[in-house]
Amino acid sequence: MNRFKSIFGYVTAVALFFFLMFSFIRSDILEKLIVATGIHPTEWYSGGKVITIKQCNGYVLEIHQPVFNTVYGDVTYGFVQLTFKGQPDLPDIIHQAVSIDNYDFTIETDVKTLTTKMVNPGKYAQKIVWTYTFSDKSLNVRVGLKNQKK
Amino acid sequence: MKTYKAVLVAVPMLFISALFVFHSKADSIETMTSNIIVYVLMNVFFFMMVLTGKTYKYRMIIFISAALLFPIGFIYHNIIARGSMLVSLSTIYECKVPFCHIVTPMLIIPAALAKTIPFPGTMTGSYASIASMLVLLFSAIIVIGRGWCAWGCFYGGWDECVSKFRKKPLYSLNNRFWKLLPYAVLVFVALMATYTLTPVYCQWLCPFKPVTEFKAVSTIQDIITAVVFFSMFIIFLIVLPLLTKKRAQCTCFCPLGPTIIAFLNRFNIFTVRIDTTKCINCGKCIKICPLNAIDEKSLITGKTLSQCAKCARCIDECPRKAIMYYIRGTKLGVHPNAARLIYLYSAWILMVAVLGGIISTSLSIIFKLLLHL
Repeated sequence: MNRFKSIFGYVTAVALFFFLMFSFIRSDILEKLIVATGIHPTEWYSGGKVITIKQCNGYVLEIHQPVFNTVYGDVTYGFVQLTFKGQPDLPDIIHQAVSIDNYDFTIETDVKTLTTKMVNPGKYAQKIVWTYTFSDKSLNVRVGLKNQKK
Repeated sequence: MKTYKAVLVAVPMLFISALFVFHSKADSIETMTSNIIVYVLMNVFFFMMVLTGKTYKYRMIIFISAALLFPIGFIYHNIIARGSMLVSLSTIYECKVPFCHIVTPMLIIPAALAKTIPFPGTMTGSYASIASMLVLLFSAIIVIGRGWCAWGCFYGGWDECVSKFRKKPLYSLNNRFWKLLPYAVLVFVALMATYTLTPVYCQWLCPFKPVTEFKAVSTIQDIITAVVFFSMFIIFLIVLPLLTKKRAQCTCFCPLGPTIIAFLNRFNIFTVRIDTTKCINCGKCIKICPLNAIDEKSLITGKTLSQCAKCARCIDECPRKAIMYYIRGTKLGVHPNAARLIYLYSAWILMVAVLGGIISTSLSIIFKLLLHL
């Protein structure tokens, strides 16, 4: 029994060395396994997945899924992220009415100064959270929302 | 070990390390030069470890060098990628922040309950992506357990370096408060990260922020966090290591190493054991262990604590050669050199791949900067 345990110990130790080599050389396979579990950066950072793409005059608008979800369920206040992509450049002023999942509001963004104001907040839109230009030159606006289910 | 035997044992490392050091085509003469320096250095050190039977000092030189050079490569990458070492809000909301292994304790509960990670990084395909860092960390933990903290972590060299400055300790971390502190930090950051879905440790506590990246100071909250970051840096990476001669951040504050990895270390195939028949209870190992992983009870049972990072300091300095690397299931002291060499191959490969890469990148940047002065 002791001899078996000893051989098993050495074999396992050597096998682990080869596992380490494999995990470095073919890390892409193990990375895919991690991605396949479905874990992802929280939508509170990433803005959530794009659910609607609208072709507008001179730009494309991507509307992300409204975000209210947390680990312990949906919360009362969340946001929706809007991504404006120029074709090739964005107009100086964007006046945009948005309707998504019964959240209706209108915003106006000054692309030069990166300021956005709420023109018509509708029933559930709260305030403009931020306006940023990302490295892909897209303009992103987060609009605070009140959860209509709460 | 005789020279010809040491050569035979070290030769495979020449080929394996070449796979990692020269895996991508060098884009400049500076990169090629730094790759060659790292390759030669790592192989000479490995050969010396095999030949002399000593481990600690060779590991320590690479470990400390990588930690001190890491900020150069990291900050340079950030300046190239985003124009500044500072993290802007647009970088955060674009999810382009490099992932750090110390975030791992904060993602366990949110990932398990909601498949979500409270960190603004990318899953794959970018510098220090979440999946690539998790693969690196998990592989290392599976193979060498808490050896990660002495052979793979690119932060630990900071407090190890400072802990070398004084000859004698003035203060001990061997009390209940310091032993429980990392668990308190773990529970706090794990629960707060789950509640807020933000990486609380990175936002408020990380002692390494002053030498990596942090937010531009523009609000009162930014001023408070900057003060906290610099205080943590001074307390855990300078004052405590200096006073205690221990790796204070890695022993008392890190929410990953002394808690989660130490727990998983209990099941690792490699460990460090004390041959109680040879031990004379001189207590030298207790005094010199950088992570407080040996206590009086260890000298009786022959087992080091789960905090052991297998850095080999006690093995090298034991006057009776009573401490050795050990593979679970085998008979203690029958083939101590075989256990050591099998462990060293895994640990050194990790060091070449992770820390060697960091040293090489940073050296190449230094060469480029010097040539353009």
